[in-house]
Amino acid sequence: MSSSVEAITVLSSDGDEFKITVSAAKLSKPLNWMLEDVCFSDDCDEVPTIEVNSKTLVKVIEYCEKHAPRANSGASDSDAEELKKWDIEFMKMDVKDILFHILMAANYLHMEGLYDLACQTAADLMKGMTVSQIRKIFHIKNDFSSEEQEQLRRQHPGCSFD
Amino acid sequence: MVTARKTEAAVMNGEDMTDGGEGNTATDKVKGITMPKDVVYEIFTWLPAKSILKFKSCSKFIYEFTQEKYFLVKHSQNVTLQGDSSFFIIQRVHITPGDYEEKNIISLPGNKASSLGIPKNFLGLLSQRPIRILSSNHGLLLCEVLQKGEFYYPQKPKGELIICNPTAQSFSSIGLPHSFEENYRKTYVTLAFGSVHDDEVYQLLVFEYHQERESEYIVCKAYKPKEGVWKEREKGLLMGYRWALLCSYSSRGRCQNMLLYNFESGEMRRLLLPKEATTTRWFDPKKLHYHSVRLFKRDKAVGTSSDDICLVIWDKDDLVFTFWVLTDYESSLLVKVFDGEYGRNGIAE
Repeated sequence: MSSSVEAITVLSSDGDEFKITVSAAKLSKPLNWMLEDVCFSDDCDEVPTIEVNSKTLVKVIEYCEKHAPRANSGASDSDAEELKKWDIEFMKMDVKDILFHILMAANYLHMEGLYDLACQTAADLMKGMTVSQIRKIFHIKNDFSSEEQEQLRRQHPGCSFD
Repeated sequence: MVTARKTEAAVMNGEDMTDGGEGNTATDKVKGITMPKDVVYEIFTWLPAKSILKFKSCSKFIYEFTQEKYFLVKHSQNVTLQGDSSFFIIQRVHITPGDYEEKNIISLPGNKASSLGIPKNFLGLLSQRPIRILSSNHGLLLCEVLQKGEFYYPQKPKGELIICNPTAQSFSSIGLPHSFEENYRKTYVTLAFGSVHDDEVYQLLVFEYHQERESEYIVCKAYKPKEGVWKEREKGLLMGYRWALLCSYSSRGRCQNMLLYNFESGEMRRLLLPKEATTTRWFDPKKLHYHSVRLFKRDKAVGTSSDDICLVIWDKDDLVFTFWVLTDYESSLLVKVFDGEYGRNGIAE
C-alpha cells in the first residue's frame, strides 16, 4: 500500500465517482483489501467499482467518515455516546426507502457496525407490521398448506396468516 | 458477524420478485429489493419475541429458522443491547395454598410502554404454572418451581428451576446442586442469572454465603447449560458484570444483609441499606401483608460503563414501589430515586 495516498476513488454501480479517505475505507474489509492491492498505487489509473448504487454509497461513505476516527484510535465514553446519538440521527433520515440497500451494502462490504445498526433499525420498523406487510417487504409467499395453517393455529392460538 | 454473500444472493422467492401492488402504505417504500436469506435472518434476531412469534406464520423458511438454536442464542445476545428498564412484578391473587400468581410487567415512568418483548399469551402460560419468576435476563426467564406449603408460606420452592424462553415458548428444567438444596431458602443462598458467555446460552450461578466466627466466605457454583451439570466456579469470570448481589434473610423474613460480591477480586462489601428496607418484612403473618424487597441488577443502560444496581421495595397491598439506585460502589450508598404507585397505567410518581 502506498502511504502517500490519503483518499481513494471508487465508482458506484451507477458509474459515479466517489472519494473515500483511506482511514474510512479501513472500516470495510473488502475495501481494505483493495487498498493493499496494486489498484491504488500511484501508477494505476484503473478505478475500482463497488457494487453499490450512488444513493446508498453516499450514506455508507458518510457513516465511514464519521466512524473512522474512533475505529482507528479508540475513543472515550463521551465520544461513544456522541457517536451513538449520531447513529440514531443517521438512521432517522429518510432511510426507509434505502435502508434495505444500506443493509445489503453493509453486508457486502463487511461493515459490522453499520450492518448491526441497519438490522436493528429495520427490526424496529418491522415490529408493528402485520404478517402480510412483512411478506410484502421481503417478497415472501405464504407457502403453508391449509392443513399446516390449521396445525399452526392450534399450536399458537392467535397466530395470524394475514 | 457479517457474512457477505454477494455471489449467492439467495433470492427469497424467485417468482415473486416483481414489485406487485402499488399501494400507498409506508412499507411500500421499502420494496424493490430482494434480501438474501441471511440478512432476513439477521434482522429477525433484532426483533422482540412478540414480533417473532407473530411473523412465524409468514412462511416456512421463517418458521423454521426462528426455531433454530443458533438463532435463539443470537436473539438473546441482541436483546440485551437494547436498553429496557421494565421489570416483572408478581402478584398473588389470593393468599390460599395452591393459588398461582399473576405475572405482570411494569414499565418505569418515562420508559415508553414496553413489555420486555414478552408476548402476552406467554405471560398467561406462565400464570398457569406453579412457578415464580426469579429473574429475567436477555429475554430468558429464570423461574423456580413451587409446591404446596403450610399456611404462612403457601407455596414453597421445590428445589427445581426452570428456564423459560418466550421466543421459543420453551421450558427447560434444571435440578439444583445437592448442597444448595439443603440450604435453599434458609438464609444464605442466592442465585444469579447472567448473560450470554462464551458459547453458552446463559449463565446461572449459585452462591452460598457462609459466616464463621471471624470469616465470611462464599461458595459459588456455576451451571453449565451444555453439559447440564453444576461445577465449582473460580473467581474471575464476569457474566458481563463485575458485581453480584447477595441477599440473606432471617427466618422471620426480614432482610438481614445485602452484599455486593466482586467477581474479579472475590471482595465482599456490605450494602448500606435504607431503613425502610431493613425494617420491612417479606411477609408479616399477623397482618397478612405482603412486602417485597428485591435487589436487582438492571441491564447496563446504553452508554453507561458501570452496572446499575437497584433496590425495590414493593408494598403489595397498597401497590406502592420505592426505588433506590446504588450510586457509589466505594461507599456502597443507595440513593432513593422515587416512590411510585402502581395503577392500571403503570407506575405513577
